[in-house]
Amino acid sequence: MPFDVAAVRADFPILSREVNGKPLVYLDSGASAQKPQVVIDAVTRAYGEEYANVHRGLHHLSNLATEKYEGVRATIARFLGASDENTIVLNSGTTEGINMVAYGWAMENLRAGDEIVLSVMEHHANIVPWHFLRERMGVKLVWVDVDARGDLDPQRVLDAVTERTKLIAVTQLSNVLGTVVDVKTICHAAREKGIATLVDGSQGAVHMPVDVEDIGCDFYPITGHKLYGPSGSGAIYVRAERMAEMRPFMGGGDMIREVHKDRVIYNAPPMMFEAGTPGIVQTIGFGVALEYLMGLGMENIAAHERAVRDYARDRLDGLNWLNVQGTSATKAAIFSFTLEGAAHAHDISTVLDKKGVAVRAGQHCTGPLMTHLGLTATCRASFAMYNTTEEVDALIEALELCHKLFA
Amino acid sequence: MMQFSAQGMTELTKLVVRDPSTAFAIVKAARLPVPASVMMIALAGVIGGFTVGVLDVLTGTPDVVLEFDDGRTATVERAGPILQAIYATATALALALALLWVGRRLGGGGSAPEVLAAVAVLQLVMTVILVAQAISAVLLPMLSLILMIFGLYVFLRGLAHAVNVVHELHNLARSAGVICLSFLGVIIGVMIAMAVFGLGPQATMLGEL
Ligand SMILES: Cc1ncc(COP(=O)(O)O)c(C=O)c1O
Repeated sequence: MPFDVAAVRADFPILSREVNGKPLVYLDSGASAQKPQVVIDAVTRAYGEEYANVHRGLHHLSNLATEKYEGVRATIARFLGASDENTIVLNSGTTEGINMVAYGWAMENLRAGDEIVLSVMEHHANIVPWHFLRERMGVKLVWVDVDARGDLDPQRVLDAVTERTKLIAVTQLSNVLGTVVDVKTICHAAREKGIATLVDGSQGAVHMPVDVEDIGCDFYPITGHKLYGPSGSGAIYVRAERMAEMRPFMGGGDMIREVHKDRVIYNAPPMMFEAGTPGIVQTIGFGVALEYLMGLGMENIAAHERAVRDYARDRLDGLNWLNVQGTSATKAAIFSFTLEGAAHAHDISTVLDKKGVAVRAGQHCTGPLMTHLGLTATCRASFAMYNTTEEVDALIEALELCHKLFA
Repeated sequence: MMQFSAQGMTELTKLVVRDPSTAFAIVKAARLPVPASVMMIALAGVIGGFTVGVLDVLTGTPDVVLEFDDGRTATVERAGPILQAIYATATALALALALLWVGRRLGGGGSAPEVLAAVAVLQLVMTVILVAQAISAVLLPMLSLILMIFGLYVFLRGLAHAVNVVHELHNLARSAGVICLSFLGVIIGVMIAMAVFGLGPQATMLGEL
């Protein structure tokens, strides 16, 4: 089935609104994607007709909510190519997922002096939890740079490995440069050496088909709000062998089987890692979003986004006063840029906003990358499956105005 | 605060003509400081006043002579460039104040610096048109008339969008209401000022009672 972007756009009610009297051109999906009507309806229905707490009740609504909520685990497994749904831990998003790995797996399995290899283009969510371990346990963080185009050479990552390396944590797709990392090569080589791998799938899973078993990673966190689902939803794939090495990260209801005054018996994984009342409705909405994506076909989505990327790249290349960061040949449709002259990224994004074009400005939670690039901030236009080449034109027109205003 | 170059200011003035709602949205977001706006208004006043003054001299515009039934005449002298500049600046500031006050009373949310900035940018645009009009008055009087009508259109349209955007009224009719009431306020204010302080055009009376 060919990808019909007009039909997809029609599924997203917010895309037909105006901002500042101009048609909305939403180019901030890298921060959070808009929601299709099916997700909005699912959330409304879940609250309006089917709401109750999950797992603990025996009444009709609780059973219904539990069934819907638990059904999402299988949907996520299918979406990620995981053959066993018990390898999926439901949570509130990538940040929680990586913190779970840091506290639940790394704290148990790493010692002072052990090393974690990170790329310089990681999101803070895949940096700060490892800094906690550096501060508290004396774990060493080893950084691998990207090259001038923003590519991360897998060999450089593997060259950074020593006998003390216990974990390689890299993103699959940079939220700033758009770079797609060859995580499969990294993970397979690491597996041979017995090194654990965490692939941050927050962006990757949005833009390409993913098969975690083919990638060969141990941990693969995703976040629902970037995948067209509600915020506060997410999951992490944990390979069964690694799950067996983990201790619970948070304690509370749901993750226990028995609690006594002198001992606790935990629930079986993955429930063992899901303490407290979860984001029930958010997760149900997340499941619907993934079904929607799978219905469209991730291959089709990727092909459409490649076409938009090519068009955007050509048009942006034509602006000789614009510096686009990250020129990797296989990059995703994420363009971070600065303007020559004194214009601050925030001013640029403010002017673009007045033309109805929504982009993000700042560090994009990538302090080390900004230092590496020698920048304090950039503007970022991040495209999604519902964006069109006409919207690229709108961006260019708005950028031309910025150039004239601030040159 | 956004910093515009001279070229940027030129672009902003063009945008006021082409797309006033975007232009004033940018002006609002630019957070121009009050002294900068006041200086812009004064600069526009000085250039505008000077232009009108020079225009009067160049075109030899005659003084206005009022003839009364009893045979007396009153010659209203044209204000010189300096007085013109003072009037233009004072009127723009008064208009800004009125737009702020009336706009807020009609549910607007614009702040004093935002309203002043909008009036300042509009004044700059009007000054450019006025200068063009003055030059064409000498070279091509017909064009001058067209420019005058165009200037009026740009001013009223610009002001409507400025009020709409700065006060976040989202309603051009309501913005027009704010403008009408503000003009009324300014006119009443000017009349009171004239009556109380004896300000305004000076006339020389000729003839016996
Ligand atoms: C690459 C990457 N990793 C992690 C995150 C964090 O996601 P969340 O805030 O949803 O946990 C983001 C979000 O911007 C991201 O782009």
